[in-house]
Amino acid sequence: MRRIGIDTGGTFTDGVLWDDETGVVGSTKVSSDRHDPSRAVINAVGKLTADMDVEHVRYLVHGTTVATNASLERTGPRVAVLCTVGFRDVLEIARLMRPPDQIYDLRADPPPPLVRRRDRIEIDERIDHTGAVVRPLNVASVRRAAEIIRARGIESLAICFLYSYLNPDHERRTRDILAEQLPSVNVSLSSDVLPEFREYERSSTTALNAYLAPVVSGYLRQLDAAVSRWNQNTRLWIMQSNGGVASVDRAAQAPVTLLLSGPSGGVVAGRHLAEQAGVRDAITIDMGGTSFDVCVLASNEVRMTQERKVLEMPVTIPSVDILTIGAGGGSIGWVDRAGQFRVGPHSAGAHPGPACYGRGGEEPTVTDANLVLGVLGEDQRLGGEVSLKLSLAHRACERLGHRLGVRGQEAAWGIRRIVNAAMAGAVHAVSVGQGFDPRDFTLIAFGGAGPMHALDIAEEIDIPTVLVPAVPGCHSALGMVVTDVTHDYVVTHLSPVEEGLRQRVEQIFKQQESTANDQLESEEIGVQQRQLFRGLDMRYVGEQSSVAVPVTKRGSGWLSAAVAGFHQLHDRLYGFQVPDEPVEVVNVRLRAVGRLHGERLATPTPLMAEERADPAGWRSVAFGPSESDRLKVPVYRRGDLRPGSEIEGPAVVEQDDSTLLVTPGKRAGCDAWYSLWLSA
Amino acid sequence: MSTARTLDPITLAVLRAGLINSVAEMKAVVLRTAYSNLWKEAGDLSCGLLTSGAELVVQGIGDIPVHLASMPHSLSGCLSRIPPHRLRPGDVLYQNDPYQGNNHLPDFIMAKPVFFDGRIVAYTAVRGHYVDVGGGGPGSYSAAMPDIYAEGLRIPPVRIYEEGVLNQDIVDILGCNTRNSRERLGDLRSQYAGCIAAERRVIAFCEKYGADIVERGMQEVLDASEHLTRAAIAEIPNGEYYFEDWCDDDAVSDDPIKIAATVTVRGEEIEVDFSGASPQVRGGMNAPLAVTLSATCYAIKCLTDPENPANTGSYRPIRVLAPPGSVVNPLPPAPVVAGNHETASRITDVIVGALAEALPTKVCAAGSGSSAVLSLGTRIRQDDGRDREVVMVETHGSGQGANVDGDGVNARRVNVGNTGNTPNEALEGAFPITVLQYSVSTDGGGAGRTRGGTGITRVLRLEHDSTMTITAERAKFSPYGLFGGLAAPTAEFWAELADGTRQNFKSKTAPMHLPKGTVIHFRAAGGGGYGSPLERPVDRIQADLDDEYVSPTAACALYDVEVREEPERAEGGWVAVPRKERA
Repeated sequence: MRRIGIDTGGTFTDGVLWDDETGVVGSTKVSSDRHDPSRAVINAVGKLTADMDVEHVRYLVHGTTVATNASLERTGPRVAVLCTVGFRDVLEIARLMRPPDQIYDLRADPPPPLVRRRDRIEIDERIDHTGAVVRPLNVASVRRAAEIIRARGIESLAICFLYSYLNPDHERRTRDILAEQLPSVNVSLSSDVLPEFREYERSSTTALNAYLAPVVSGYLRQLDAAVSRWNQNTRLWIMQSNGGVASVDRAAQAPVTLLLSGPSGGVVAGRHLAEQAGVRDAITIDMGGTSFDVCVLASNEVRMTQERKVLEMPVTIPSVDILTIGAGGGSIGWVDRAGQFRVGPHSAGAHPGPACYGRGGEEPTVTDANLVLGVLGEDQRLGGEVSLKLSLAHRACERLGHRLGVRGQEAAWGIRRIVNAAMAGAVHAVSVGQGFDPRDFTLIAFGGAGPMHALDIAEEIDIPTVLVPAVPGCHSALGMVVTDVTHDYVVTHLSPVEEGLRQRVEQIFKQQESTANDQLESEEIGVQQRQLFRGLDMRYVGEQSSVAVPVTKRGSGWLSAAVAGFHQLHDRLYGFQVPDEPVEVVNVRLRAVGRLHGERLATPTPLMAEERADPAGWRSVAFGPSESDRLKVPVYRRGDLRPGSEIEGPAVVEQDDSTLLVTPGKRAGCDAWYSLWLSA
Repeated sequence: MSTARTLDPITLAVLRAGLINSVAEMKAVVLRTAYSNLWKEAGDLSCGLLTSGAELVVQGIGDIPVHLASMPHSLSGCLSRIPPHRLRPGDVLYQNDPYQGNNHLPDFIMAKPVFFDGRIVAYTAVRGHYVDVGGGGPGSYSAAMPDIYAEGLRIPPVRIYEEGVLNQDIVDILGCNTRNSRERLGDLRSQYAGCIAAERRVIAFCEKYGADIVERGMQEVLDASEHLTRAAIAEIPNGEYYFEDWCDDDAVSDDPIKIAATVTVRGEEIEVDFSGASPQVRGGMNAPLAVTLSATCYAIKCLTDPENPANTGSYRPIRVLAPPGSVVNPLPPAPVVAGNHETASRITDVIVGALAEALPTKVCAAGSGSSAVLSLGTRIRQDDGRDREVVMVETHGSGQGANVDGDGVNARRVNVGNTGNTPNEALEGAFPITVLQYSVSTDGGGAGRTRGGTGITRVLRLEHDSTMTITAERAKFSPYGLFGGLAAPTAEFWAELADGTRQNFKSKTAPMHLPKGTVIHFRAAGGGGYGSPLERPVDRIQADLDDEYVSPTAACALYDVEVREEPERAEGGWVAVPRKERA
């Protein structure tokens, strides 16, 4: 059985072909198509399967940027929000605070609210904080709203009533009335999208869902049709922010769950790699053209967060806990008004791109610096497509050097050191900053540029070992073929741990499980393949932030076991516990997983004894600011490194999708799955 | 320490990034270990790395501006009581005294000297707002207290740790004098964890680069900010600029409080002279010197270098003259609790107002100018028959002044404060109220070519007999407009009693009892307008009508349009028509 993973990125669309017996059997990169991303997807699929029988390709899993781009670039349609009388401005008032970068800005011009005030329409209804109706739904007010929406030609709307997470009746009845009057309008309910307390965060997430729905569902239906035309037996799945996949129908209904569709693939692939290699604690780094993503996999668990923002709007659905900073191959080196040397966060992006692309970029980027230093070779083609011009990179670095009073190579060296320091800082923040000791971790480096910088980052923060996958440039696509169907359900049930709570929560779990089973059924996941995980968010009474506690025990003692687990987790996360302090439940959670395959680990290739690879060539690489810091370094083709091969630094390993720098004093060895291990 | 030789630009850039990261990590550690909601949710804390000379090099990301100058001043206050030569490795300094460099009693600074090679190379410091520090009422937050003694517990500079050992005597005094003392101890512990985290990083840098390089790097970060600020000041035309504005009252008397500043720009330097300010007042509206400095420096940073991270290098070219015994530099035992954000906000308004003439494209009109805090307290009978005291403290002040290019942002905090709100769905569960309305105010911003951001209105009904305290501003003196823009309407606070009568409140009240069923209307001020309203483009007026930021009546009265009704129009029933065209 075979599977294909396709990850759309800003510049390239990456594809991986996976075989259940042997693991990765092919990978490819094609140029992305900004106007119709599905063309590049089908193009990549064609390249991957050019010389095989496509009958055996059962799944195509896709990571998409359509939702992310539409939200960042605000290209979605006009949407309306129906809200409780007196609360039309929840989206605009937000949390009152200025974001950190605007505190000193007297002329701040933040993005306007996603929904204009005139399109936030009050409905006469009110439910109180116990879920009781204190003002029944006024049907006439819904009908009036429907008339306004029709007159304005609005195609998508969100319904966000107060306390709908406790009692969704008014939201549902409003939807039903609208369905009669406006049958073609897309409706998102806050009690479906995010039945959690905190009206701003819930409304913001739901409004964004309504904003994305028309764009994303249009794209997914189009792609689904194209995939069916290609091969009727291949089923399309969509990668979500939570690291699992969902059916096209489900993803089209909940596009807000796709904002980290691509990056979450990288983390899941990192977990797969760690599992395969027997690594318990890892940190994944993904360095591409514009950004650097870092994520901790402690005890091989993908950590989740609900604290993400898009254009200053919170999106509080569970997503893989990735920290992103503006550091990538396209990050620009510059001198600020005080004469200080800076790198990023501005990026030359794919267009015009680094100076060495010869597409009109003038500013020196990290890629230019790597080319000047010899980490990249002039004869290399990035992604097999883009050729590099050393003279243009040189000129850009010289210009920067002139402003700093140093020579071009020193400026290039500076760009590398400064960007490495920034990335090391981000890795430090997610490890030490969250109470982990990086010395216990393995750094998994991927993305086109990650392996060029990985050893420097590791050295900066004392990580002893670096692991580079076989196809680092298509690593996120790999994550898509090794993951499972995953759905997260949450309901707020704010209550102290007391008599009767166990039965009430049990009831909620059962409802969630029934919803989850219906969903998995509709996705044709057999009962044997299903796994359901219960969890509770708990906190000490009076605390604001809560701790996610897994509920593993069944039977009457499960709640007290969860409370005991909470105290322990609180201690681990926050450094203290207060056993005699009252504890309360905030949210009831269920994660439903549908296994798409059994054994996920491919068979290892036997290691060759004493395998020595021969370099394909030599080039001069600078390991310092001056000419005398240049060394003659062997350049290996990645394809020449077989299981058991070992090479010593300094060395460069080239492949179409990525380049690896082995610094002096380090060694690289190829393991049974073609991953490279780097250490001192 | 010598700063004659400068670092190479690459080492400086790497070191600078490292120092910024170490403070970011420090803040992450504090947030992770803090017990108090005020720190975790509302962000009322700040972290800093300071030089051995007590200059602030790096502040935490998003830290509150009013903590900016108070950080170095509180540390200097500690060092003048306990000089550096008496400090030993493992000692940690601690204090909250507004008369020794601090801003107000609820904020405690903890600072740890970083020793390397037997000398102090830096200090790491964490300041946080303690939810209760004793004194006259839960939350220690009434402006009506007669003196600093009534405001709560005051701890002068002490060593909270001596050579690594916690001084339990001080902890016990703190525990005895504050409400919910367990939370205080949690806060103290997390401050210490933050100081240690950053100290470790600084020591690692010293080991890697050498202490001299690290110290020189910190100086150069400060020098760079100073350089940027001097260059920006040099572009301001030389001259003396005067502005005055008023605070409503001091919660004890009805007398308004004058804040006046003469801002003198000479070359690359600025002097701010508050000689015209009122004498210190009886209620808690006095701004200790550290607060006055923070508010002044905040205003000048906004106008000179808003992009770069804040540090005290920016403040070297700024000189502040604040007469002792005045409301901007009170003498003990004057109470100070609300000076921290109410008077501070007016100080910022006055400096921006003074420089408006010189920097018309950089300033904005006055914003809401107040934190507009509503505090409620009541007792709830529990199942076990005992009463539980519950407290609600909510910030409302928001709405930015308009600027030359654009309308002020609606419903957004301004000036030196930046704490947020609490979700209504959390408020109603925690305190017996029903929120009936939470909205941006129609006609809340000042009219102008660009309109002031509108403030917010909250209407709520008490479901229990409760005690209410208001600590707000701008109910008498409205936020000013600029260059022909109109001032924003004043704030309004009133209650509709169960019998239908209306009771108006001043912007500051002592705690007062209100019966169940009372409906409180809390309408904080918005921001002022910029430029003549007669120049506002009709399409902007139309958009404001359609979005109901401006009412048809106000549009007619304030702008150069007539408004006619078109009930069938899809975008809204009111159409603005230029007056001249009709004539």
